[in-house]
Parts: sequence; C-alpha cells; structure tokens
Amino acid sequence: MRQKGTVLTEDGVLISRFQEGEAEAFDRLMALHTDKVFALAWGVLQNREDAMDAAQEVFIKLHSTLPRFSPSDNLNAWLYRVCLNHCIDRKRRAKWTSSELSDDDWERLQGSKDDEPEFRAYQSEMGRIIRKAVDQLPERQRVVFILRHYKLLSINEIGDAMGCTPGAVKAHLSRATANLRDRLKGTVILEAREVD
Amino acid sequence: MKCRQAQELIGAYLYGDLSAEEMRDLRVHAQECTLCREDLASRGRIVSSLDDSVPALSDEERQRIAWSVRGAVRKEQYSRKPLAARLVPTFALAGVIVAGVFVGRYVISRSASPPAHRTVAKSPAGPSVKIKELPPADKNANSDQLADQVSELIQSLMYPSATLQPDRASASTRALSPDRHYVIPQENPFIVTPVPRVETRPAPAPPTPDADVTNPPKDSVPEVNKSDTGTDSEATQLPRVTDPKNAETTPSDNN
Repeated sequence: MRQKGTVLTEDGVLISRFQEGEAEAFDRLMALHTDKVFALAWGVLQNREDAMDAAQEVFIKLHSTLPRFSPSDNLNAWLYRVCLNHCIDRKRRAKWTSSELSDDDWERLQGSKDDEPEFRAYQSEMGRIIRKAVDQLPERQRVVFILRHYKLLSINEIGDAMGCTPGAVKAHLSRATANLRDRLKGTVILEAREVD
Repeated sequence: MKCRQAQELIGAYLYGDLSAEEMRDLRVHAQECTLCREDLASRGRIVSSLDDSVPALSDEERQRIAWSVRGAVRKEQYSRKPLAARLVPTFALAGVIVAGVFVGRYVISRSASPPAHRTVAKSPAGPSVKIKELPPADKNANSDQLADQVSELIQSLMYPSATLQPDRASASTRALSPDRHYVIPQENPFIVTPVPRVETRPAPAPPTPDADVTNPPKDSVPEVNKSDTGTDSEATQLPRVTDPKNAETTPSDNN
C-alpha cells in the first residue's frame, strides 16, 4: 500500500489505523504476530506456559508503545528485540530453574508415535542431554543458538534484536556449537556415532 | 583458510548462514585438515540430534493470549483515569444502598406501628381524659415496668374513650381504681395528678309522705353536676366540677 510516497507493509497500515482510533487494528496485529512471538519466547524459555505469559506481556507493552510508532518502523524487529529482552530477563529471574521441558515438549522430542519405542526412548534421552548442555551455555551463545536452531530468526534479525553485527552473531553461533561439542564429549551422542 | 578461522565459521556453516565463498573455503579446508573435519562432523551430529520443531499454539491458546492482553489493556486504561472519575460508580452505589436502607426502615416503621402522633393530635384535650392511676413510684422498679406504665399512659391518651377493664389491665395497673379521675396537664402529660373524688352526699331529705318507695335515692351514684336538675339549695352545697380545668386546679390550689 502506498501512502505519501512510501510503501507501507501490512503492519504499517494496521499501525496507522490503530493510531486513528481503530481498536480492531491492534487485534489484527496480534493475530499476525502471536505465533512468531510465542515461538521466540518458547525458544528462550523452553516452557509452554512461560512462553504464553511472555507473549502476553510483549503485546501489552506493544499496545502502550504503538501510539508512538511510525508506520514505517520495523515492527518485527521491535517485537523480537522486546521479546528477547523480556525472556532473557525472565530467565535470569528464574535462575535457570525452569528450563526443564514440559510434558508436551518432551512428547514432541520423543519423535513420531509410529517410531519404535526403543528409538523414541533413545531420541528422548539424547534430546534431554543436549537440552541440558544448551541450558548451560553462556547467555548470548545460548540465545543465538536457540534462535538459529529453531529457525526463529535470521542472522540479520538476531543482530537487530540483540544489537550486534551479523559477524558477531555468526561468531556466537560457532562458539555455541563448539561449547556443546566440549560438553557432550564422551556422551552417547558423540561416542555412538564414532563407533559406527 | 586457517583452522582458527574455520572453527569460527563452522557454526554458521551448519545453519547455512555463510556466503557461497565462505562455504567453499571451509569445505576445502576441512578436506585438508583432519581436526577441522572431525570437528565439523561432531558439531553436525549434535545439531542433527536436537529436534528443531517448535510447538505450535492451538486456536484456544491464541484466544487465551488475546483475551488476556485485552483484559490487561482495559485495566491499564482504567487505572489511567483520575481517581475521582474512578470513584464515581462506587459513591453512586453507596448512595443507592444508604437510600434503600432509609426507605426500607421508614416503610417498615410505618407499617408496624400506628401513627401515634396523629392520634394524639386529634384526640381531645388531656384534662377530660379518665385514666387509671399510676402506682406510686417504686424506687426498685425496673425500667421495663416503668416503660410499660408509660406506654399504657400514652395509650390512654391516644384512646381516651376506651375504658380499661380491670381484667385486661396489666399487673402494674391492676391495683388502680378505674373509677377515679385524674388530671393530665397539657404541658406535661406524664405528670398525672389525681383528682379527689367529690363526694356528693345529698342532704337528708325530709321524709315526705309522697316518697316513692319504688325509686330509692341514688346514694351510691355521685352527682357531679346538679345544675341541670338539682335545686338551688343543692347547688349551693355541692361543688361544681363540670369544668375539668377548674377541677384540675381545685385540689392543689385549695391546698
């Protein structure tokens, strides 16, 4: 959509409608971004209920900030930055104690229900070990690894959200994988493949 | 490409975040360097062992988030209102409740008790009322008895024509003589002054031969006012107590 010589995205159109007093525009914005914000929050918090709470708080903050938005602003970048900072703060407050996966998430990690029970148990055990190692990573490495591993954000989006360059994001990602390798050395994940 | 530079790029390589040139350089280095090749393989196993699917929200969960956000937004907008504006509904509700209580009490009081003040206003003046005599004030009488007496006195004032039968009298008034007259001053109806009975003893009539033996003289009935029917000589002997106001002042003034 073209407005005053600038091309507005759907987000930009909804932002200007909201600023003109159309409350339903905010509902539409929420519907467009809820899945992404929830996934981002889940990636950091690794807990479904916590991620839903975090998504709610991000949208509440968005509602109070939206009147000051410019329709040409990048809403995605703002949402990711606010969501990441909120989840990292939340994770710090919880002192990493709520990093255990919920039952649903464990069920998801156990693979397809058509798989052999032994294979599902093996996958589940490997997933639990890796998740524990990921939780022990330094904060920035952990966030970058999760955002990339779950394909939540691109390298450039992570850089925008975390306030660093794409090169720094790549470096964090490489250090994260190197750290995981060191932490998982001698475990069934690496040894089993080496035997093969 | 050196090993240190290669290890800095392995992580991005695993997720396809390197440029085409960087990817090619890293592959070439890994073919030549055993350590870097094994490192690339190890990290690849870890990454591939960890599931990368993200749990999706159900429709119900999406609605739950939306409702929570709307509720929080409304609450925030409400809290931004001035305190006076927020308290208006509270004060209005309190006013309605207080008014309801007062109206309810007024309606109940009207339906439960007779309008005493109206009866008193319409009733004749106090001095003409014939009431029972209150018992002498007992120092040990409790307040209930006193209240009972006062209420009966008020009832008598309100319904002066009603005569209290001895069998209906309460215990506190049973000893009273229903035939005695009492004066109630208008300025203070609770002070009752007994009026001494005027004994109208007829003068001994001279025996007349025409005396009707069938109609004996009414000795037992006190004749208070004989002006209408009595003779002049009788009128001079009997006090006139026709006016209750005069009667009220008579005993006390004479004393």
